[in-house]
Amino acid sequence: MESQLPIFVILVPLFTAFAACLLGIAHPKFTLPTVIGGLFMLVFATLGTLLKVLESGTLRYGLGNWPRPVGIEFVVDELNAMLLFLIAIAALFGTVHSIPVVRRDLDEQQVPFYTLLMLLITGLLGMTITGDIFNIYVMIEITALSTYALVALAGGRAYMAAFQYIIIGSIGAGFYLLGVGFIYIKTGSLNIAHLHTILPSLYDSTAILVGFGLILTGLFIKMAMFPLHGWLPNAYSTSLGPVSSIAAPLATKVMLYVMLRIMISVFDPHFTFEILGISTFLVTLSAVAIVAGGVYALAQTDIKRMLTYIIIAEIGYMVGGIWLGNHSGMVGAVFHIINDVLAMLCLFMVVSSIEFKTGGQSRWHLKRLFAKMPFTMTAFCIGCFTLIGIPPTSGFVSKWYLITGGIEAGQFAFPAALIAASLINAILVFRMIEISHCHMERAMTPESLEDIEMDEAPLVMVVPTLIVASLLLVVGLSSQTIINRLILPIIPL
Amino acid sequence: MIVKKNLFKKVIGMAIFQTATIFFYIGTSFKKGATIPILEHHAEGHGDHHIADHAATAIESTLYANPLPHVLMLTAIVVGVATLGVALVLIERIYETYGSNEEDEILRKLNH
Repeated sequence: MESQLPIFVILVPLFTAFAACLLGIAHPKFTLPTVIGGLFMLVFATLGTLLKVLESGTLRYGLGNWPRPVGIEFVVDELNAMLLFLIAIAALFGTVHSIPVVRRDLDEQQVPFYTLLMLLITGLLGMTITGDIFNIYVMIEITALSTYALVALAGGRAYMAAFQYIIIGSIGAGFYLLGVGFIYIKTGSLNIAHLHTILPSLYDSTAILVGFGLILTGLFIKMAMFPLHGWLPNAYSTSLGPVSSIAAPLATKVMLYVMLRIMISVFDPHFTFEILGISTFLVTLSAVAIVAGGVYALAQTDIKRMLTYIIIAEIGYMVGGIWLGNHSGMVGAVFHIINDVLAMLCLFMVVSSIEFKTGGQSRWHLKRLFAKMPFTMTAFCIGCFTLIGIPPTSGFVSKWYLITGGIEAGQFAFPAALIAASLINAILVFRMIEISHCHMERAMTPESLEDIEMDEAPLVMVVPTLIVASLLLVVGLSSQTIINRLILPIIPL
Repeated sequence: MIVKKNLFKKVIGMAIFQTATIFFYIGTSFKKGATIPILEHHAEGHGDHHIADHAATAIESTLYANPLPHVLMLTAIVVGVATLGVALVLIERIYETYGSNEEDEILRKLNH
């Protein structure tokens, strides 16, 4: 049973999607319990995979029992296992959190929404677990198509945002496919482990270089790396709360994981950092991305749009950290993946709660929210402190490693940008905290402030938000354990 | 695709891009003088005799075109069709909401 865990991780959400669709057509009331049940099974499956990998090292599963270069293979090592588990818990918490919003906004469309959501989760998990570069393309497209439709569910402005996302996203996936084609022509294989043994003799071939460049460009488009980030703010800020809570923390990070896989498991670190020679350029580009994301975020009134620009800055942290090419940078970047998934999950869930209770997502809807929704706003504060990088949240640890890595590599633009980003995030965060603590509605007088009642979001929304916020603290406090058990084994430097 | 303002033309541009990638892969599967990738058996009927024969002789790979890119591109074609479907439905919704298929008019309506 245990050796079948990798395929279980894909089969559970896939079959839940089909079950939710079929049951939902028969009786719409059955969709939600099916989805929640499927997600719980998924969490247990990924937890089982994580524990098995921690105990016995890399897991390999050949589909249909076909041996390696002939068949498609699922490979789970420590990096994968952690990301799989994160995707599962993000999906579970996001779905539970969005039950009231779905009931209010999407009542007749519940069945398509939950089906698409489960397909999105399948695609994300598939990208993470597969050991075959063409299979990654298939999973990229599954994820992307589900996201296009989910973003468009919101109607209105979201239609144009989804259209823009389709055009840009398809080009990105097309570049990735073209790059895979170049590599396939030269090597004849698509399997990651097999390519790792074939490619070293071909490092001076132009076709391989171009292939890597095309794959990198395609992935940069998909992960919204500045300056290819144009689709992200519109797509995630116009979409509904439930969609952005699940898609925003996960989609771009999984693309980043794919880039890391290609860099260290398909190609060697020797090729990526020494032969290619683009590290300095990419680290400088990341520094620009970090500052640009921060500056754009400062201009926003809408909280969700501001968070999407912060995502762009965070992608800059991680891309820069990976391309620094030294040990601290990579540890910091990989740890930041964990950190960012949880922080963005927490913040997007909070914004969704705020929109549910107050009807809007702009900064000015936060007035006095600390009095009305204390638990949600506490989670908001913890999430925001992670963005700034205040100990003991996990943001501090990843920033520490990234800045150390930047200084060690001699690329001083990167640590400077990171520190500037912390300051910009501090302005953004404290601006919002000030409004939520101190600003008064016109009709309020100092005496009536005493009478503000707590009007918190429903329990089903508050509990996941608080759990994720406390996870940020837990991950921060136990960061050394996580780094030693999960990250150090797979860093090849 | 970037230059044209009409939404349909953007979608056509995207479709041309995807088709070009498909052609690229298929082109790599050809060899000079190769035929379609279906094995030629001396007609003997079915049975275990047939299977034993199959295992014994090595296949002369230069005679057949490489079937793997064809298989990969089947997936890519399906993906392209699905994306085209979603894009066209979105254009229809956009037309219903904004009454136009031209990007600049839509952006003007969106921004005030």
